Amino acid sequence: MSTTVLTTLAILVTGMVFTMVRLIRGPSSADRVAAIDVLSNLALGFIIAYAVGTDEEMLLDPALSLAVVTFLATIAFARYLAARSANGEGGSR
Amino acid sequence: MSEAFLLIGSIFMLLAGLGLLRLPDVYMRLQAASKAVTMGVGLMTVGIALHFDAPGGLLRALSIFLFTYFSAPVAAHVLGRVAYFMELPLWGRTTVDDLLPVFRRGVDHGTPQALRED
Repeated sequence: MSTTVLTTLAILVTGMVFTMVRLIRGPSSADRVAAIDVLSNLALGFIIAYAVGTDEEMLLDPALSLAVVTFLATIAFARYLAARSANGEGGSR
Repeated sequence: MSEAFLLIGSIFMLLAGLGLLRLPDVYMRLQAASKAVTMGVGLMTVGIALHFDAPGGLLRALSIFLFTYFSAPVAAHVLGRVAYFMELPLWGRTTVDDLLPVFRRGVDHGTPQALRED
């Protein structure tokens, strides 16, 4: 694996650390869902960089499915948050 | 060449993480989460397309790019809408809230109603 790809992976892991801090801190559930969204997109980038680094074209299929699942998960979380706040249970933001 | 695109894309994704960490309210964070991530993934898929110079790699790169390009802004929009109706506070120094005169905040979640009936 070349130095450039290794640097790419290191940068992505740094981004994941920043995102994890936001995921833990919150303060609202919407922040956390946004953090999960960015985190899975960073994982998508990590898979892409790893696929290029190891020259494994098969790894692009998990990346593609992760791209789809990320979107669906974010939409599902958003609908859950909307339903919860509509029921008046917005206590733990 | 392809690895240069990967590197630039990962820098954009790092900026997304940094924006998510540092920006002051949830709406600005969602902006970082949508735009910078879309740009980062887009550049990284260009890297794939250049590296796997075969129909299979190109096709996968194109589909990853299209999915992310269309889904990340939509997801951020839906989340921002939910955050607005959860009445999450805007940043203290925000001056423009275009939705405020149109929607009652917090009332009738999901199906906002116009205040004015004209």
